[in-house]
Amino acid sequence: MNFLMALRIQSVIAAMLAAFQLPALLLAFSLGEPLQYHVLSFLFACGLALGYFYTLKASTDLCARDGVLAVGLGWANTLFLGALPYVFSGRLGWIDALFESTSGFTTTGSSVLTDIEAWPQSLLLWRSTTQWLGGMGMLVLATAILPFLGAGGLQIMKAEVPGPSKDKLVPRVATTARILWSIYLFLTLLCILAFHVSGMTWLEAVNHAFTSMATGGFSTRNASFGVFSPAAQWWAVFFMTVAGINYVLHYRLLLKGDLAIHRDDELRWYLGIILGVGLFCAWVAHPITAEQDLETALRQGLFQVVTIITTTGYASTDWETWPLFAQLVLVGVMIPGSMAGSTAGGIKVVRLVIAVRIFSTVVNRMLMPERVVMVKLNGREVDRDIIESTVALVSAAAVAIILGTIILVGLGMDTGSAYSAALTAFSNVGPGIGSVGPMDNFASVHDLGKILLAVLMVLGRLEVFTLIMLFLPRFWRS
Amino acid sequence: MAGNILSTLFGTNPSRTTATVPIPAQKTVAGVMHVVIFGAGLVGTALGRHIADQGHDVWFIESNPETVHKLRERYDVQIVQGSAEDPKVLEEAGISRADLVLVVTNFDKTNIILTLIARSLNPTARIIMRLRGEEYLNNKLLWQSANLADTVIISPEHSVIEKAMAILEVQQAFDVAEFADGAIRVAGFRLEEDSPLIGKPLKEAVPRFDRRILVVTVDRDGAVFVPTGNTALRIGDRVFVTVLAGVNMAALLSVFGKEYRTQPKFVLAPLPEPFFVIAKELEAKGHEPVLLEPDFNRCRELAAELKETVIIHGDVADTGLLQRIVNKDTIFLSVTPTQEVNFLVSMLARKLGAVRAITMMDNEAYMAMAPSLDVDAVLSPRLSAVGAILRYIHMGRILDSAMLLGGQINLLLVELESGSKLDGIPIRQVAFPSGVLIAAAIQAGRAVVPHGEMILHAGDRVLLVTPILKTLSTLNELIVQKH
Repeated sequence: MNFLMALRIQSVIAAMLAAFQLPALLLAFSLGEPLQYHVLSFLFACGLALGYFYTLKASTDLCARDGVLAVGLGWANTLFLGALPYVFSGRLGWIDALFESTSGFTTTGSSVLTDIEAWPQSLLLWRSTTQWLGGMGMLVLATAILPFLGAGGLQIMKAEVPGPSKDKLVPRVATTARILWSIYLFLTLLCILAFHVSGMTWLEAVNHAFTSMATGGFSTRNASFGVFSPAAQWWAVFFMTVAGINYVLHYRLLLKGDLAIHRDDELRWYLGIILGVGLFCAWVAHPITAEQDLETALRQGLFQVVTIITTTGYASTDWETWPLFAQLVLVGVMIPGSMAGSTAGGIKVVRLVIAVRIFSTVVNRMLMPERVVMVKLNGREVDRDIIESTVALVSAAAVAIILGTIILVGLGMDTGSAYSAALTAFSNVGPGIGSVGPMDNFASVHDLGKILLAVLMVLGRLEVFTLIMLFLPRFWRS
Repeated sequence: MAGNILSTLFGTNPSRTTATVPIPAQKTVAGVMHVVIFGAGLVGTALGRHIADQGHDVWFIESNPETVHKLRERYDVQIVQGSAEDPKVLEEAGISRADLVLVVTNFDKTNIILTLIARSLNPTARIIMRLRGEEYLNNKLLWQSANLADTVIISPEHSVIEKAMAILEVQQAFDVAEFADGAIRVAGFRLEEDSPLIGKPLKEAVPRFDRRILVVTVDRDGAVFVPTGNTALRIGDRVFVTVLAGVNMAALLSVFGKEYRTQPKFVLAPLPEPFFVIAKELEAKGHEPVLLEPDFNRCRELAAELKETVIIHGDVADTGLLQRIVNKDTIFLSVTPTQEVNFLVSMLARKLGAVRAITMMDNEAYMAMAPSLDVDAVLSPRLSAVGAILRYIHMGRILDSAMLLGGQINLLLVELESGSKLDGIPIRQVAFPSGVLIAAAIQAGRAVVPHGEMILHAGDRVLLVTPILKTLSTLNELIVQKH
């Protein structure tokens, strides 16, 4: 195993996190907020980055296993460095800080902060930054800027980018990673502009654009999106939906002018679910009355559905006041989440589509054993290894969520809250129902429960296999 | 000279032979090229990897799902899965935007059809096609037709024949690359016990022999380095030297502790069709090779075609037979299509007393094992093809190229531009990128070995030795005008 290169990548990640500490530091400086925790975190990360000079002799050969190692270490490293500002500020203990950092980088958006608006703006900006970085992925960013990785970068992309198949946009991995980050940056800038035009301050626009495009869901307001204008909420619906779309399709549309992307099976299902469930929720939960017109009903219905299915996790209204049936429908769409190759979590719509089609082939074969059946996607047969990994991931997700629920109930949560907490963590959504609902937070959860949820978040973000492999003895055997 | 006979065999148009292809006046592209490769076989994969290493965008078109899977895992290239005849697949690979198209499947007919398709979709790309059949190579009218006229043809088998002939001539080298029609050769020798080079710094040992020889690179247990005047060589070092035409072979070989056979006995394992030329060339040089052939009908055909060659009807793995043929002057050559057979019969021949065994194989593991199992020289169609194509990948300034040591060393023949770093300055004063040096130069049509006081000028051709990892662009400033 190529440990030296894995370490080298860690030092680069530390350097990047040091660099991304600077905007928060500058903000603290200009607002007259305390600087010391950002300075300390910055220096700490810089110290780790110096390890680069120890790894100059690293070989650039990376096999699949090295990719997993680099990504596993990379996440541990990132989560640790991400938690430092919270810890150094003295406002959170280690467990809470790591929970918040994990919730950030996995773009979950569950929070242990009780009164968000009382926090220094610079720390909140750092909190949003962690989500933005986690959205496209620190390791993908590292792949984009490290010239020395070559084909090894593919192994890293494969271990970090979600989705069943990992196709490169262009022949080179590094160029692919650069294109992904450029599209991400471009969309984020558009989102900042849109939010600012619809009434947010620049700082709010940046914070919320970071967490919208990352489908993260951290807000700087206690009432989340509820305090912003209808225009801002509509823009949020648009940008969250966009963020949940596969970046391969963004690339084809934005850089290749390819309009045929509307024929993509997964995109049709994704938009179909959003529209269907959104209109249903609007109809069930927001009856048109004197004080509630059609626009409000549609907006409230669509906003909650989009924020949940894209695994963002804002709220523009307290949907725990909705009929229980509508609430459960919302929890239901947490399972698919959004499209593969997007910044969103969940098991991905494409896997749901494949699972449904596997089911239908089995049924067809039972009805007529002689019939030749085949699982297809976009008119092409789905590779056997993709089918296998889909089945494995869907089963693993079910096991993880059920086990998580049982343990959380054991730690004293009620069943509904425990189930929604496990699901929301694994799918990287943010809020659940019951004691961890959209207007509540995770501060009251047992410390062990927080650790468990943080593990579920990383498990969901890295799609199980990458993380599990690190804990198998045979992974470490050469 | 190998080139002469080959060019008469493969059509008189000299631009069709691998040895002397001039750079066609097509677009030369600076920066990243879009390269489309048809066929991800051994040759295609090796080419794709090297081209990608040089920073270009490589698109493979390949229909076998298992090959696609393997490629995708290993190399930084893009693969389009599907039939190369399908317009959708071609479009997906961006054939119309391609700067360079390599058509290197294993089948001549397929390659010709794909070349025609590629040319019709992209009139300006440089297209390089692999061919082996003489019936195509010799068909002059075919190559004058509009759609094929601008195609560069390479034949890995042809490159192998050239290399085989060069090695057979130098006898004791384990690898030889030829440039300028044999005026310059870079040959690799393993140092034997009684070599006078051993144990002394090169600057003391070298003046002992001909000024026409220069040690350019040393491979010591897999570590490749450029020797300085103070380097002392050891037994077992594999050294590459520049050898100019006209050097006394016997004297040269004695420097490496080897003996020159004035009357070598060439024993050839069955020669499949493209390699049949080797026997003919040996005859042309006045030798009487022995050729083993198990198929009686083929024996009769060969006997009708060849005049001096002794054709033996028998199995090359027949120990009794081989024992009667092989003696201590025997140089054994095996280029059958099965590399395992080549490997085994070469070992057998050595065991039976042959002084040299030369073998064709492409498997990297076999190639690494060969020296320790008494197989003296390895011919690799894959590496030969890569070496032959390298020149087209870069700027169009490389006149000829070859690879040595399984690709660890590149040899590039280039022409100096006026105002380049090397122009008009004694070589001693030029700062070379590390690992790079000049193996030979051609001044006013005469090949010379360079020395520190020598001054090169624009228009001179130089043979550069460079490690493979060095991207060609770092060599640019040495040979191209400064801006």
